[in-house]
Amino acid sequence: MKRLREMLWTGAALAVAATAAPLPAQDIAVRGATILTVTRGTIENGTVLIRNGRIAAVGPAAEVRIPGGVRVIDGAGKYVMPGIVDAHSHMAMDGGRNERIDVVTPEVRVRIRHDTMDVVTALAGGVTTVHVMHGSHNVIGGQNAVIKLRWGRPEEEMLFQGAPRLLKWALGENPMRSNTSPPLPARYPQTRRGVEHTLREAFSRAQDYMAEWEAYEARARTDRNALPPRRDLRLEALADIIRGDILVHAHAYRADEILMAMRVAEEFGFRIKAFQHALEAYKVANELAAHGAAASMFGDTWGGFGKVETMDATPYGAEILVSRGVSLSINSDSEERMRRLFQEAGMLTKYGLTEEQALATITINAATQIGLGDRVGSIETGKDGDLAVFNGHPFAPSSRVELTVIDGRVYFDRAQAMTLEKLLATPTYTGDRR
Amino acid sequence: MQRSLFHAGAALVLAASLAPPGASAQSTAAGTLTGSYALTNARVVVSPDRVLQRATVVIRDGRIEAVGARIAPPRDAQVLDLSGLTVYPGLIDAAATPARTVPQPTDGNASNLAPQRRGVDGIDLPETARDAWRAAGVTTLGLAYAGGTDLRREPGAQYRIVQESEPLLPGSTSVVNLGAGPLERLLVPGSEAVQVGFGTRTIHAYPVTLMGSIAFVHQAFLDAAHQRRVRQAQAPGADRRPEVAALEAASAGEQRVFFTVWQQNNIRRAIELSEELGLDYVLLGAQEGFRMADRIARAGRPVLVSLSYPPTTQATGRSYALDVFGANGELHDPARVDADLARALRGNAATLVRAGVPVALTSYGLEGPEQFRSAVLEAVQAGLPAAEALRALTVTPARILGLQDRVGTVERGKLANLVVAEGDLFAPGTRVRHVFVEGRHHEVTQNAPSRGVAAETGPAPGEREP
Repeated sequence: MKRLREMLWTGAALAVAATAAPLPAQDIAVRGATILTVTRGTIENGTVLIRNGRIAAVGPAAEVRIPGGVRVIDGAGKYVMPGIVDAHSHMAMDGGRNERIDVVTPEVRVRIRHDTMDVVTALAGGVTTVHVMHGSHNVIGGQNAVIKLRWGRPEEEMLFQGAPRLLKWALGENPMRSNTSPPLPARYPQTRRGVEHTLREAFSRAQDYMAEWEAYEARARTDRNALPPRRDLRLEALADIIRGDILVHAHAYRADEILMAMRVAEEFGFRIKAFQHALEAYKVANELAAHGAAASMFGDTWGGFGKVETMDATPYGAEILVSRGVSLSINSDSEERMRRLFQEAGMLTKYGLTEEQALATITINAATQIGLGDRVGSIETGKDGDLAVFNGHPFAPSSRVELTVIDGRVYFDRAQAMTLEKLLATPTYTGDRR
Repeated sequence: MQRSLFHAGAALVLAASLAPPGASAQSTAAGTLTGSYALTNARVVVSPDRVLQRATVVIRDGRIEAVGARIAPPRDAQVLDLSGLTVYPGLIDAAATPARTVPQPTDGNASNLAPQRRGVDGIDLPETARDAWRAAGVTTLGLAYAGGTDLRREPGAQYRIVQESEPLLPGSTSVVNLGAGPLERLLVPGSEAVQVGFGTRTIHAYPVTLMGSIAFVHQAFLDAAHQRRVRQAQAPGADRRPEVAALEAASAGEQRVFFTVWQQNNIRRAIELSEELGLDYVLLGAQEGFRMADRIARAGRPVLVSLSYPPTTQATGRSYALDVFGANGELHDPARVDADLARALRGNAATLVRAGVPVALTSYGLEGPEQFRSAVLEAVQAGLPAAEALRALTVTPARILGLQDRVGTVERGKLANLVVAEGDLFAPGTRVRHVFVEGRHHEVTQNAPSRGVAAETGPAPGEREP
C-alpha cells in the first residue's frame, strides 16, 4: 500500500514538473514467447530483441543472442504481437473535431491534446499507433494526425515522425446531414449529387490554382519582378492531393458513392488510399482492387447507426474483400472500442478470415493504409520496437495485455498499473466518483 | 534590427540600459513644459542592476535632467526631501485589458480580422482609474484587447475557458503614459503591436475549431504579405480593406505581433507559426510557459507573462496526476493536485526567468491595478527575485514596446516617469507616495498598502471535470 501511494505521488509530481528533454531510445527483449510476427508467421519459443528503439532481431530463442545490460522480459506462456495500429480514431483531438461551417477545409490540421486519458486505456489494450482523423461533417475535411501513444510526452513527441500527410473525406449521409443550425441557412450539399459536385468543384479550382502557379513560375524564369499569385492554403492542400502528396481516406458506406469517389479521383489523376467504414465495399470489391483502394471497417459493429446507408452491411464483407485482394483493416472509431480492438479483429475469424488475416487487419494492413507499413505493423528486423505482450493468444476471450512497448520503452505494464483489482483492494476505495 | 535586440543576453540588456540615452528621445503627448523638481536624499533604483544611496534626481521639462549622489538642486527647482524613500522607474504594463465601453462584436458574421482597431478605441480611463494605476506604480500602460484567446475572466467570476465571440485578430495595442487629459493626447506613437491568438469560437463563421483558427491566422498573414507585394509592385487587384492593410507591416516582420496563447501546446504552435511566417513576435499570456521553458528560451523572443491564471482544471497535465491512478480521493487528492498546479502556474515567471527568457509581467486578463500589484507580489513570493520583477516591469517591457530610449530606467534624458515608494516596491505593505508622469507630479490618493491575495486555485477541492 505504501509503495502504491509513493507511486501515485510520483505521478502527481510529474504532472506539475516542466516537460523534460526527449526520451532516449531504449533496449528491451522478450525471451521465450510465442511471437506473432504477422508477416513472417508464428515463432514458438521465440525471442524479439529491441535496440535503440528498433527491432534488432527476432527468431527462435536459441538463435537470438541478447547482449548484456538489456532488460529481458520472460515470455514463457506469453504471446507477442506488433503494437496495434488503429486506422480510424478521433482520440485526443485538441479544440474540436469538425471545422464544420465550410464544407471544404483541407487546410486545417488535426491538433493533439497529449494528456488525454484515453491514451492510457488504449495503451492497456496494446494500441501503439493511431490515425487521428478529422470528423465526417465535411466533404473534404482536414489533414489528419498519426500519433504514437507516448503517454507523458508533449504533442510534438507524440506525432509519428515521418508519417505521410493524410486527409479525411466524408461522403453520404454525414456531410449531407451535418447541417448548420439557425441563424445560418442549411449547408450545401444536401444530396449525394451535391457531394460529388462539391468534390469536382474543389478539385477544378485546385487545377486552376496549379496552372496559375505554373504560369507564374514560367514567367519568373525570365522576369525577376514577376508577382507571385496569392498563396491559398486551402487550394494548396487540394493541389497536394492531386499531386499524391496527401493520401485520402474517404468515409463512405454505399457502393455507389465508393464508385463515385474513385471515378472523381481518377478523373483528377489521383487515387483514394482507403475507404473508411466501407460497409458496402464488398459489393464493389473488384473495383476497389483495380483502383488500389483499401478498406477500413468495424469488426462486427453493425447497424445501430440509425442511417439508411448502413442497411446492407454484413460482417462477411470482410472475407469477400480479402479474397479479392483488397487490403482490409479493422478500426475502432471509438476510444472505448480501441482498448479491445484485438477482440474486434478476432471476431472476424468467425466470418471467414484466417487468424493471420484477422491479425493483419489491426497491424500491417492498418499500417500500410496510413503509409507506415515499412515502419510498424509487423515484427521484423529494422522496424519500430512497438510490441503488445499478451498473457494468451490475443484472440482468446480471456487474454489481456500485460505489457505495451513503444520504441523499446514500456508505456503500459499491468504489474505496475492501477488496475481494477488493485483499486477494489484499496481499503479507502468508495466507488467511482464519475 | 528590432529582432536582434532580443537575442542579446542579459549583459547586453544591462549595457544598453546604462548607456546614455540618445538625443532621439522626444517629448510625447501633451508636450507641455513642466516645472522642475529636485528629489533629494532618496535611494534611487536607477535600473534593476544599479542603486544609488542618498542621491538626487532633477526633473525638468518632463525629462530627467540629472541623476547622482553629488548634484546640487537647481535654484529654480522645487525641492522634495525624500529621506527614507525610494525612487523607482515608473512601471510599464504593456498589455492591460481595462473595460471597454465599445461592445465587442457578437454578430454571427463578425470578422475575425480586425487589426485596424486601436487598443485605445472604446477605452475611457477616468482620472480615478489612472490614479489607481499610478498607485500601483504603473506610469506606462499598453491597452490591449482581451479577445483572440479562449481564456477569459468573466466579470467578478473565476477564470474560465469560454468560447469567445471576439476576433482572432482583435486589434492592435495602444500605449499611453498615464498623465492627465484625453487619452488620445497621451498616445505614444510607434509602439503599437498587432494582437493575434488561437481561439475556438461559437460564432457561425469559419473557423470554429482550434485547427481552423490556426489555419485562419496563417492565411491572414499570407494575405497581408501578398497584398503588400501587390501594392509595392503597383499591380492591379489590390485589396484595400483596412483590416488587410493594417496587417501588412506585421506580415513583413516590420511591426511587432503580440501572440496570445496560454496552453503549452498553443505556445509551441504560436512559436512555430511565427517562425514560419517570419514575424517579429512576442508571446502574450504564456501561462503554461513553465512546462516548456527551454523551448521558449530557444525561440529567443521575450514573453509578456500574464499574471491572470487559468483554472487548474484546464491546466495541461492535470490528468497525469489525477486520473491515471484510479478514482479514489485519498489516492489522488484533487485538492493537492490543484494546489501543486496552482503553485506551478504562479511560479511561471520565475521558471521562465531561470531558463533565460526575457520576461515582462502584464496584467493581461486581470481586472485592474490592485489585482496586478497583488499578483506581482505573489509572483515574487513564488520565486521571482525582486530585481527580476523590476526588470520585468521596466527594462524588458520598454524594449518590447520599442521605448527603451524613453522609459524603463532613471537616467538622464529619459522621460521623468518615476515612482516614489516607502521602501521595497515588491514587499507587502509598501505604499507608493508620489508618482511623476512626464515630469508632472501626481498625488496618490488611492493609497492602500499592497498585500498579497489568496491564490485562486481553480475549483473547490473534490470538484471534477464532468
